Amino acid sequence: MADLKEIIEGCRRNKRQYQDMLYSKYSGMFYGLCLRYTKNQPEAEDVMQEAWVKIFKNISSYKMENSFEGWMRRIMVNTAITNYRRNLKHAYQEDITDASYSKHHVSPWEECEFTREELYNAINKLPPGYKLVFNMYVIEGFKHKEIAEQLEIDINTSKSQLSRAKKYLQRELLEMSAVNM
Amino acid sequence: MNKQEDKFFEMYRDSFQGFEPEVPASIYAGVRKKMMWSNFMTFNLSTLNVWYLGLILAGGLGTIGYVSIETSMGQMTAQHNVLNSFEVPQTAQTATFEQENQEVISENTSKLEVTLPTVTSLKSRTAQPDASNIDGGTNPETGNENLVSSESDADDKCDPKLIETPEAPLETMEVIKPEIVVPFSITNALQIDMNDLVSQINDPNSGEIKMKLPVTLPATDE
Repeated sequence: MADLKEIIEGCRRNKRQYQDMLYSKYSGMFYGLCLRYTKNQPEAEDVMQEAWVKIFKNISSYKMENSFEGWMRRIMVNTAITNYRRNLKHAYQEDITDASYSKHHVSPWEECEFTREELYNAINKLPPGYKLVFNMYVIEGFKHKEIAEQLEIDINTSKSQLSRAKKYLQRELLEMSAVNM
Repeated sequence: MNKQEDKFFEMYRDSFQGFEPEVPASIYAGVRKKMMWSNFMTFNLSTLNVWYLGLILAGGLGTIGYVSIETSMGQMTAQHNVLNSFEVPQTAQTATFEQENQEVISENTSKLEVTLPTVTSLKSRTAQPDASNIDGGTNPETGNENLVSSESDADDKCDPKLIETPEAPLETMEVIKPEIVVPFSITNALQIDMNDLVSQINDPNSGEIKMKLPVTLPATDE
């Protein structure tokens, strides 16, 4: 198997065999990312397709000194954000107020063990805006300032949405643990 | 960020680290389809794309158009040649026509004595010069003086009495029935029934159709 540099060069020359190699190398990882950012599997597939086409078409603009994986991840996330914005008009935005979960007693969740699937299901129940901020901050490691710029929101909005997302997830995980017990 | 929050986020981060679910094959098929379409729509020297295809189509259509124009022009030329083949040189045709129809012409030609007021009188004088007439002498029979003098302009001062003079001979001229030449192309354009015309055509092979109009000439008294 060719090394990454060779694959990138092949993709720049629009050679299909190198595109196949790049896809098989990173498709699994990025599909997981797409699943986290979208509501369901078909939507994740659409985002994934769109993002890969962008990667292949714009690979010439990639500068070798930066991380290639980071560059591709950013394209994936940006595509997911675009998809979120596109669906925002039609989506029902569920607003979680502090009152809705403050009355619940939050048990120490760290004592419970959750599978990846359970965690994924819990994230998937989040309202789209919260899910986006949570994924960007926690999984991708963006700062609040970057999130605010990318989503064109205030930094405080980003912070508050993250806080609410966290509380919502904690409640969901506690409910899951109570069912499992 | 407190310690508890850190742990919570870390749990999520760790759980999704290296998370690579199985990817459906349909995704890459869709990617390849989109890439092919994108490559097709983008100009590239090395691959067949919409620009080349457009060029080929334009060339093909241009060639077809050119060939069809050439063909139609050729057909028009051929038609023109066919029409030209009907046209016999004018001099030869006329001669042949006149020769062949000499009898018809002579039959339909009648001698007509016409007394031309001016010309006849002058010609008659030239043919039979009479000093008395020229010099304005007296008519031997009538005893009248001739009105035309030698100084007078014959054309302007022509006296009808001169025509009646026995000295003035009667001029004869041939009157031929008028002919109407109908070009072949006009018969086509007007869609004239050719059968009707053929009966009147003197020379069917000729490009021109000559018809003789029935002209009845008044009988002349000799």
